[in-house]
Amino acid sequence: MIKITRLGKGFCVAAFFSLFGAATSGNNILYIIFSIIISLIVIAFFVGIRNINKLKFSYAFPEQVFKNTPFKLKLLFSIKDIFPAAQITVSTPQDTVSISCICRRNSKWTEIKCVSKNRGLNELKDVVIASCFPFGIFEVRRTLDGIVGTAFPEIFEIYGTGSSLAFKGESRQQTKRGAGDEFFSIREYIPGEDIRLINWKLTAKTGIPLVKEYAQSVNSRVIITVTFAENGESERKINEAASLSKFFIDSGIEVKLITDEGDIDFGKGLLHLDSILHKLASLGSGKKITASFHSVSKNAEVADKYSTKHLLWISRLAALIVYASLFLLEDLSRSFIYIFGVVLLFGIFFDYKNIRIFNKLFSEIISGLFLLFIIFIDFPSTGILLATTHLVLFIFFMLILNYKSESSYKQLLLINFMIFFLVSGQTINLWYFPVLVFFVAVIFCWLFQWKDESELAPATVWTGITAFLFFITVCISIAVFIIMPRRDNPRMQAVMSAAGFNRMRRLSNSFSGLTENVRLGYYGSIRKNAGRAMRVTVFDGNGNPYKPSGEIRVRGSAFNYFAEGEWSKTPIDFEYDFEGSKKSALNSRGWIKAEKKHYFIFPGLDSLAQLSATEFYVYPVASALLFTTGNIYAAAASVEALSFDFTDTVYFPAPNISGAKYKIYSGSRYASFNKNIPVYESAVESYYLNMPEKNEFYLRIAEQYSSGKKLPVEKAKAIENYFRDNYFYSLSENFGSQTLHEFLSDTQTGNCEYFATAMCVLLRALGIPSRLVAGFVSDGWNEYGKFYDVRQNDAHAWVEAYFSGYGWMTFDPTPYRSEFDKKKTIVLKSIGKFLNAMQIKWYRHIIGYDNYTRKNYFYGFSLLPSKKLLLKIVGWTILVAAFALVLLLINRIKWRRIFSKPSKESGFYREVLSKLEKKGFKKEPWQTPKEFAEKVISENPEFASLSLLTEYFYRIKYAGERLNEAETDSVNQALETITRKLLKNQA
Amino acid sequence: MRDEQINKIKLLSDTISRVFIGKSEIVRLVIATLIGKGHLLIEDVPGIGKTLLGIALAKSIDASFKRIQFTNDLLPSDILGSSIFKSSDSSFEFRRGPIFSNIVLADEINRTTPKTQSALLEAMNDGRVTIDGNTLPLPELFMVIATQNPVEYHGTYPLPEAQLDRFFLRLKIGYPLPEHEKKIIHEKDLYDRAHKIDSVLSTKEVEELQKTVPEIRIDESLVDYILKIVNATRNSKSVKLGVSPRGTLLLVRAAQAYAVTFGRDYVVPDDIKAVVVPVLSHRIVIDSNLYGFSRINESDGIINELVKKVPVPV
Repeated sequence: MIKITRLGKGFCVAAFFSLFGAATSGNNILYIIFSIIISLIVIAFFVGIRNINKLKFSYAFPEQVFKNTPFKLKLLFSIKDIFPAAQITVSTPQDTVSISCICRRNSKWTEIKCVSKNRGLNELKDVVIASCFPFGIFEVRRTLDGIVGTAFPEIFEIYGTGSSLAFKGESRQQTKRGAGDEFFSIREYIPGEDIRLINWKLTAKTGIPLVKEYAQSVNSRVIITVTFAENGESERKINEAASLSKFFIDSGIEVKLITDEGDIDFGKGLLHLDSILHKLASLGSGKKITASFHSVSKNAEVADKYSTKHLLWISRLAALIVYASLFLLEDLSRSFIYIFGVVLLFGIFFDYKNIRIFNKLFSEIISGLFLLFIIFIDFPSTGILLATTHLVLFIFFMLILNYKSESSYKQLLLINFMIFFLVSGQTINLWYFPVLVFFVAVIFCWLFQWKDESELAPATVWTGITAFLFFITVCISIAVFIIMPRRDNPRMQAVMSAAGFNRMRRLSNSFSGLTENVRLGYYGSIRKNAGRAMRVTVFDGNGNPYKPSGEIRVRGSAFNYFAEGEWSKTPIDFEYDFEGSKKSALNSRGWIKAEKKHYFIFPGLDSLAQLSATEFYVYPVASALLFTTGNIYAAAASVEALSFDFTDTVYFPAPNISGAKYKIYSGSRYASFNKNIPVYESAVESYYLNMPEKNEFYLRIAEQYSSGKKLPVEKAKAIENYFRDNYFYSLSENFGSQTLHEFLSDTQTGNCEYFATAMCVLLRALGIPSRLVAGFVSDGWNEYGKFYDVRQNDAHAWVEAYFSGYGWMTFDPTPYRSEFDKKKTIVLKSIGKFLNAMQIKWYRHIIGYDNYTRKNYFYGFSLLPSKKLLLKIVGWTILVAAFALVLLLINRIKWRRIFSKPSKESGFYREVLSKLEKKGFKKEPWQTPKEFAEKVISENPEFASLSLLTEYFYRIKYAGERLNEAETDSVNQALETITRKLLKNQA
Repeated sequence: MRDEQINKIKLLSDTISRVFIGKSEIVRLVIATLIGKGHLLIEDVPGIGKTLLGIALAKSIDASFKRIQFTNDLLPSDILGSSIFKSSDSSFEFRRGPIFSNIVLADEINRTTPKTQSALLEAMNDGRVTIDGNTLPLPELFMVIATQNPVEYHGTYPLPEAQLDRFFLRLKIGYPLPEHEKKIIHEKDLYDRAHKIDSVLSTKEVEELQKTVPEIRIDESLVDYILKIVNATRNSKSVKLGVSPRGTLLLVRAAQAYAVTFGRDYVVPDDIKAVVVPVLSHRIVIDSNLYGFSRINESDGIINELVKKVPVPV
């Protein structure tokens, strides 16, 4: 029989809530919690059933059992499997016994009080084994079948012989020597007898030693007849017959039993009584097996008991972990959390010292006030979620300060659960993961139902069970997490997280360095910000991420119009090819709708061959730009439409204030979206050649820089090179406010914007259409995550120039860019990169996991794993096997030393005992350690150090002392000596 | 316990052992009785050194010592004292009997009549004596060492169970080992030497030691061990009447006192094993149908057997 416990019901409710929360919010952390709870329930179910059902038992029914009289039934439990059975509770209506663990090599005898309800053959039907193992979610019960034994009739006290029963006494008066009161005779003293028997008076009279003898009167024979009738009377008769038999035999009378089913002749003594009782027991209905059954109260959870001591520490630990998780809540003010931490520590301290701070009335008043505060002030101002968090934290706080009994420890754990739950619903931070692992481990301990038991299973068995269960839990959780159906709609969460955005809310940390217009000198300020802008992963032809040589150039927006130190776009209406027809731009933008779901094919695409993919995770930005790596043919992004303008800049329909994740496909050759339009070139010439004032000045400089070159491309190259070789790069404020004219004629120093602008203007002066491009250039390759980490200070500006017949070409005149990260040491950098990679994995694979990615994974999965994967699998298998082997070795050799010694100082004595026992020196249970030591040393003087160990053991065990370091050393030394001697003996 | 006390205890047992040769175990038990505030019943054959032990103990703790030879015509007043008419001022003067000393050796206590026995035993129990309506306190440090001869039973009045219970320990001294006996022969005039022993402890110091006994730490597991032993006597088939709760309490105290004799301030299982037979053997009633008359050997054997069945907590 399997029954869900209260805790189990709580678990089901928790599973429901987490699923509800997950389905409505799309937060994968709640899915994780749900998966863990489900896997715990599943494991509890199957392991619990197995735990009880695999148990084999045999029993020893006592020789003498009387009806309705309690007796001790001996049960031997054993298990054949390698997996042990744990935390078994054996119960009868009269008694309950717990067994902590039954292993394959370790069968357990246990004794339990039982009562037989019937005379004769009884089958005990109410011996039940039950267990809440492993997690207390289910209680599995099993009635032990087939315990059969004979019960004698009920025996009651007989006073006198006034029974209705027919019994005949042969009143043959016979006197006998013995221990009586009446005088019997006098006889001579026989030498050798006890001298005290001599009657001295008579001896003195006669002169011969004489002994007085006394008589024992015996009514020696009784016949008891039981006539058997099939009604209730007969049972009473049998009971009376049994009682009488016992009475007579106890008084030394010979008894004969006559029944319908045969007689038992005269006899005396307990053996005779036994045979009479057996006969009586098997009379009539006694030969049939009848079930002996008590009504068992079903509601009691026999196996559900906790040890307060452990609960206490687990609660404290859970409280601390939950406290740590509060830091993940960005809405909670930090000062509040710090104050709370102090309170928590105080609470634990006071509890440890058993000081109660608040009395009941005071805490109730405070609670009432706080509730009012929550309802009328907190809730309207901060919203329901935060108000709830505050409320739960307040309850937590009150409990911490006041918890004293077992029930409040349970409450505390419940509150811990709730807080953790709230936290789970409000964060997607990577740091949540370790907190989750710790919390689950602590809850695991709690669920493991530690009980107060004197006898504990060996540590190895426990660790084995725990490791196994943990492993299964992890596996099932992962499986449930993967296959849980997801709703597609609440994907906002996923998109935000997919961008590697640390927080759930659109608060800070978004980068704002990009605008529709760019002023000269503006980039100087952006570049001082080291905040993350985006992560870019480049895939090769097979879809594996790889590192392209050199740096990566992320193209943002391009500008065509420069005037008064400011770049902007002029509204240009244009025509473009889309889906085979010509379309005109709307509000100077061309629009494309998604082809398949979220796939976009841009005009200008020649063929899909030779396309490589690049994935972007963009941090929240107050701009609708879709960043590319130069050219773009197709894109996959979770929006309905994309737009582009005449400068080949691509836009989302709305600003990406919550971050964005998308993929673009680009080819090897640069192309413009509307290059197929015949009028494109003339349009380019009309839009990309506008100049600021002083045309001649720029022309002069341009010709000077490109002197001797004829082709436009050569001229452009020459100008680029001239800037690179002869100008200086600086982010200094001093050069942030100069004009372009000053830059070219005077300082020749500035930031990238000046260089790009200058080159652009010079090219235009020469009649080459050109535009300024704003974007990022990064070499922040992260080798762990295989992506480029693009930061705000990677912002950059460069130039694209148009050459008739070729298209747009990129030039970067900026000579040198400084690095801000150089200060960090390599180790720190590497750790930072590693964490960064972990974070992106966490977001990509866990937080961002949804139907879409699942499909991706499974479509990409082929039955024949690739060679690389195969190698990987083999490698991991070997690693795990090696790890297991090492564990096993540790287990065999030093386990005890490592684990039992710190927990119990006197462990060394057990160790030495077991060692000696293996070599044939067994300590008898009745021997005191000192006696044992004396015996061993008297036989083998080489073990003299045993007496030292014994003395230390006495001091630890019975005097409650602790050994100082020197003494511990000498203990270790003595241990080693003995071990060595033992080995030598063996050799 | 203070170091100085530990040293004193050691000195005391050494001093006694110097005249009472080869029985250091017995000496320890006697000291344990002394600091456990108990009385001692020695059941053994004559000539084994019972009196010598008493003298040595009394002398080494600077206590007054009296010996009373019990005979069947001994009267209570011979022990307690009596009022004697003083003709000079025609008044009664109370003359104290031998019981008004620190250590009283009651030799062959079963030789005298129950009346006299009970007078002594009452005094032992109450720590005071009432004569002619006057109640007189006995000394603070008061210990009776009674002896019995287990062989001669003719004309004796065996102590009933209830009175045996008054004694903290019942000891058997036993014959000395040959090498010890040889030493006894060579050491001349042991009695003289016993009389000349210089005291190593004052009665006050003994009283202080007595106060430390209840403070001795006894681990919970050892309390359980004691309870198991006691329960074994109650459930054993060969024992008619098991040990009473008073017996349990005295066993604990005896173990504590015995630990003190080693200068330890905690009890170890060996202490319990050492005192269990002397404390319990006279507190059980064995089934006489099974075990005849001879009692001390039998009950000792039963206790020993029972103890062997109880596992020592480790």
